[in-house]
Amino acid sequence: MVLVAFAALMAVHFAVTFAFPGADLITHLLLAGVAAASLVVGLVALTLRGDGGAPVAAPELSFATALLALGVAAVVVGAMAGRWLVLIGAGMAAFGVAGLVREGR
Amino acid sequence: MTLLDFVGGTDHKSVAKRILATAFAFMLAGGAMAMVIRSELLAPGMQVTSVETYNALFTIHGSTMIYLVVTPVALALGLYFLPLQIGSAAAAGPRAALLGYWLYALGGLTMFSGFLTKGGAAKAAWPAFDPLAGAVHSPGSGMDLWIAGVFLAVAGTLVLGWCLLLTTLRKRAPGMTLLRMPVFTWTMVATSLMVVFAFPVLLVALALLYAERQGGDVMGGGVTYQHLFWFFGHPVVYVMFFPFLGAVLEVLAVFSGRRFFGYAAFVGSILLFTSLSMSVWGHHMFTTDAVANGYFALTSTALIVPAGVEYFDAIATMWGGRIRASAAFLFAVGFLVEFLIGGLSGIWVASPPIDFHANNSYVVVAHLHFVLVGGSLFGIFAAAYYWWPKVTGWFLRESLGKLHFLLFAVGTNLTFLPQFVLGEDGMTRRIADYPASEGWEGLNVASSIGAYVLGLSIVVFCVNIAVSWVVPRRAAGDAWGAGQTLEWATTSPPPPANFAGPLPEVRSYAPLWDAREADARVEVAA
Repeated sequence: MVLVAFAALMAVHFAVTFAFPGADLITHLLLAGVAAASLVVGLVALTLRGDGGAPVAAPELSFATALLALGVAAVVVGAMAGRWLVLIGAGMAAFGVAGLVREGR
Repeated sequence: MTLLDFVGGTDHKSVAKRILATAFAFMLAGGAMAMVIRSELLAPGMQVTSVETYNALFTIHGSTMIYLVVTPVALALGLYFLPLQIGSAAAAGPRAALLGYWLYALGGLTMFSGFLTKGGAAKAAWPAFDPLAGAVHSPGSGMDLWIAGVFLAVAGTLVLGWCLLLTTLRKRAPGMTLLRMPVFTWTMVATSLMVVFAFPVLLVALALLYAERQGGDVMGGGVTYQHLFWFFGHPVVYVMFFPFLGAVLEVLAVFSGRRFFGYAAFVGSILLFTSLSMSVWGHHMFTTDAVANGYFALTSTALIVPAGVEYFDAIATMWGGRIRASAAFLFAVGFLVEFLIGGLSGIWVASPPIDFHANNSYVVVAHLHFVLVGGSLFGIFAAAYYWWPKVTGWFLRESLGKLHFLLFAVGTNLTFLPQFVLGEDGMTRRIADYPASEGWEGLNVASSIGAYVLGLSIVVFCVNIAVSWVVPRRAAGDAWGAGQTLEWATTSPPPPANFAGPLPEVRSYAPLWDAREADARVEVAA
């Protein structure tokens, strides 16, 4: 409900822009985009069921997650540093994802 | 915490503590840069740095404080306390939270690595305006590393924002309905909404900026970048404010010995506040003549309505209470006073004619710093003194805390009040030098002395931590003996699954207060 209420408020702000002739396309798109996105997420959230605050099934330590982060960082920096770092980063990220899949079993 | 825990620990409290420690380290670095900046401005002429270095320093100082300190601290507080306040054993997506931490930390290191490059770190200010941040005006890999670093740090905080939103939606304890969530939790919901819906736009803007630096007019001029940047850049100010507002309101209620006043109005106003904060970005662009100034002046001025409700609630909570003037309480009151200066000067520049006058002057610097020091740092320290015993199991020293507060309050006002006068007199922001003939030296000296006092106050805080750690004074579960929310219903520090025993019944946003009232009624009846 929070997200739907938020979407409604954003829709009102979007509607008010039409009272101002100088409002440009980007302004309309950004406001409408947030209103629409929060409505969609809100409707999806309404279908979610709470678990009453139960513990989460996750390992206490997840090195695969850290490896994934390192891989993503290397890919992003590699976009500037060169393809060699992108490839190393992609490899690390792939190992990280594989580790996460293994943790999930 | 072992090295293995540091790298891969997934407990939400552990991840939050790592974010807080990392942010504190970045804050010391960003603060040191501020000291160099203020030292340079002590007198006309270049004494301490070169113009190039000065430009890099104010760029990385601003970027550090916003992307690497206050925003991550805001989310870390939520990551630690939100699950506790809603009675959950864990946060949703613990591995995602860990991923968020590492993306943020690596992003910070990437940004700082710009200092190691030949041309030095980025010099295009914390918004990296286009075309100033383009390849022509900002050549070299320092700017590229800034883009990569901010991209990673913002991506990390975006992941943390999703974790918090999903935790609120999915992991509330039985009885914890939305309208029974504590005040701080509500401010974290508002914060996560802004993170989830505004931060992706900055990622897009940074990608486009990077593409422009590779050659090619991707955005068709600087206005598009400004739209995308400020669509992130204004909500992020509230991301750096709401969580501390929530913490301050909890502190005021606990140390006034009263239930929080006006809960329903607060919930409505925080949602209105959130939506308005995402509809005001164009006021940063009044002078571009490319936005609907009337619309953005209206939404910006309207912010005073929900802000007024929050202030009314805060004052009414204290009214008639049994006030304990602890360090946390003093910082909370300081937050209200200092942010008021920042907020009201914000309403002032929300008027386009006045903004045309004040644009790009030190008035804006003073306004921004009263918002971020008043509305963020005072709140951070209120939260630190309030929740420290919960996180560590031992109290910080109150006497040193009050000295910290005194120095911090004096330093804040001495640093930033003169900047309003300097700005009014025409001193432009982001300049390394100013002519002696303008007569600005006295006010700049006062401002710099204030900055040194602020630095001294941080030293006192560090001494407080050290003294309190060496000779600890242990804290009980309800450390202040007046806790109202569920984090005080568990041990200090909390066990791995947060709550060892059954939770108190949740019938309002202040379940421990309800329990004490019920006990008192039983005693009276007996």
